[in-house]
Amino acid sequence: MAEIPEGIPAPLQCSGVIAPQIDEARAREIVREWLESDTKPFIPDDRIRFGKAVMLYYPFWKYSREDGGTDVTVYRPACGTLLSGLQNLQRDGSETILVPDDANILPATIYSSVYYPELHGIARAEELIGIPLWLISYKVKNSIYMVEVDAESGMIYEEWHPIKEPVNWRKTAMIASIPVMILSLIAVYFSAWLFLLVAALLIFFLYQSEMLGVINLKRKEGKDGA
Amino acid sequence: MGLERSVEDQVAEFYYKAKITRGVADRTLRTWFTKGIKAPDLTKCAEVSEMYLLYLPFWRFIAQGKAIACGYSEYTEQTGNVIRNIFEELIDEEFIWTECACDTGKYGIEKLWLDPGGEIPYIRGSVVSMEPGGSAIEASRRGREAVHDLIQNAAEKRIDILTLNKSFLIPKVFELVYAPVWIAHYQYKGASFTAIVDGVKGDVLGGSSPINLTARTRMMILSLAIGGILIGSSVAMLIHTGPYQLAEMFQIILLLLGIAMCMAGYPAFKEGKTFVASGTMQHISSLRPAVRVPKQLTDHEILNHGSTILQCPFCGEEVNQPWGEVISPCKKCSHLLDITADTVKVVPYDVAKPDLLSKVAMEGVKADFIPFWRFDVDFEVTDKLAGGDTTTGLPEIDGKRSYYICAADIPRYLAEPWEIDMTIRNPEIVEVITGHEGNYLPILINQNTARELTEFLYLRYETEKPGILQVLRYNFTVENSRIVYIPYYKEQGSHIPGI
Repeated sequence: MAEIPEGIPAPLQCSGVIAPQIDEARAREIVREWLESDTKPFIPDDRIRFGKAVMLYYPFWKYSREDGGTDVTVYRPACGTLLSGLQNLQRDGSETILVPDDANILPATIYSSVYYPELHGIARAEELIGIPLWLISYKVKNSIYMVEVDAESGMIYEEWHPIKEPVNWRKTAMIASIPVMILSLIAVYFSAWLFLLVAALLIFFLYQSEMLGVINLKRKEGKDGA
Repeated sequence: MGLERSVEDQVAEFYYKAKITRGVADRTLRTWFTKGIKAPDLTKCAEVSEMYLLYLPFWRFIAQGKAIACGYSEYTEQTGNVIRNIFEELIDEEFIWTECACDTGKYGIEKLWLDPGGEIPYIRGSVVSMEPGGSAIEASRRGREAVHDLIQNAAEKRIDILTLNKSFLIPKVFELVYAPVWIAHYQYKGASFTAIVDGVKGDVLGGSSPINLTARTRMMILSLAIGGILIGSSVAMLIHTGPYQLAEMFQIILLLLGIAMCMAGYPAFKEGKTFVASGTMQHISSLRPAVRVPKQLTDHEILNHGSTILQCPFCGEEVNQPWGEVISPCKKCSHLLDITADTVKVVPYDVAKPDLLSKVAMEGVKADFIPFWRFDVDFEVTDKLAGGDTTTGLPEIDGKRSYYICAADIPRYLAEPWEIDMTIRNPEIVEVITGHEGNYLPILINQNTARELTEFLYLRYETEKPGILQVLRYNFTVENSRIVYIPYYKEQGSHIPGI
């Protein structure tokens, strides 16, 4: 290993990691169930192709504090991340083990003192631990998305995901163009006054655009009628 | 590898202090919700689940771009006359290139939006920051290439046909800058979105939000209905003109216009998204925090690294490569050394003795010894053409002579007149063998850059002569080069040469 040049602090090391309870197959299953559930406005009809699943240990500062007579444990990420759900991580009674040799652990880059101003209570202890997360990518149409699964609790931290289009665009296009096309044709043949009808129809369509377009907002009924 | 890594770690790091508080960022976000074609009830229904301050790293390369471009542009008048405008462009500006040093994935932040100034030294681990990824050396190379392109584009902007085109780049700063942003993750009707707020100015830099579907539907209805009216009317008129006496051509144009509106309107609004976002989400694998990866060494470089310890060729003292274009003296024997990743070259130097006149005039004042590169050059001009009146009383500086380029950190507007003056005068330099007491300024321009500046000095001198330069072909040969420390006396903010 190369020597650390002068002036550069030694890297922060995790004292332990939280033991993962969920394997890759189970993590994928959880994600599939979540994607296929009807609780989120996803695209259920499109085929979802799963990609890579990677388990990473994210370094977290674990602060043990005594606040108002109760013991409080606060977790804060020890590396910069754009992933959602990691800022206010909650966890109770997690089993901590020694760092496995093959652990894919991200480098901690933030000192514990950075978070002191936002912590309350009397400091009792603090340690740097790794929290395992499954990062699973999936593809819908031509876009790639990712979801994080807590490898201990199985909780999902949702990231950017596909959103169902609640509009039937083909139907909207047909309704908007065909009647006015026929009416315009008739107006030229018979009377220009019929163009007033065309204009009125267009205003009606624009006014009632939600009725024409946003028509399938109803959730699909489940097999059991739920 | 160790050497490369240590060089990479020496890149200066700075950060901008966040000036926007969480409350202000939240208010900015709420205002952003009401702007654009976002969902109308976004302000009411959006729930911010997380909002935190994060520093994003950016590579920043600042360079002085110098270019000479000559040529002409032609245009033909209605009468058939061809008008030719001849141009002589001189570019001498500062160019800044920035690149995000981590992956911001879907948010699409690629360039630094803040101008230089107001940064403070960055201490690792002291703020929540994304780890910079990739290699500093590679980023520096990319920056150099990008700035070269910027210089070229600036020089060639007005000229269609180039007859002379030379550009040079003088690197000034290569650094890692951290810019603060507030990351806001929010939920809207079960879907997750993110927005990024600038932590210095308080603007929204990027992010995603649900779109106003009603507006999108209405736009589609409007475009297709107008298309339908045009198609219907034009078809009817083509079959039976009725009271409308329009030319057939016009009717066909109307028909085509209607078809085009339908064909363009349908896919444009159908393929639109339910959310608006900046950037893409192509690099899923790099969404995890980046890790600094040193430059991938070539086989040749690995061989050299494996067998070479960088040493002073005179005293054998082990030396380290400094970051940037610095000529540093050996700590043991004080010889000037030009250290690159693979080699250490000794740079010969002289110290000029202040002349008697300046010694008497500036008695008691300590001289600043400013380093200059002195190139013994043979400038052989083979072809030259200039338009307009070219009568000049200025001396010629081609042929064999010494060119002087200031190598210290002196503003170029001050240094350039000194360089021209000494290049024209070619002063007799009396060397001091044992050195002279004074303040010796560090050398911040290496030989390659100085050589480019020499060529530019000549070209600049030629363009500043009367007339518009069009063609200049020459052979430029450097026969010898060395550093010369020239004494200057500071008096009331100005420098008085001691030779």
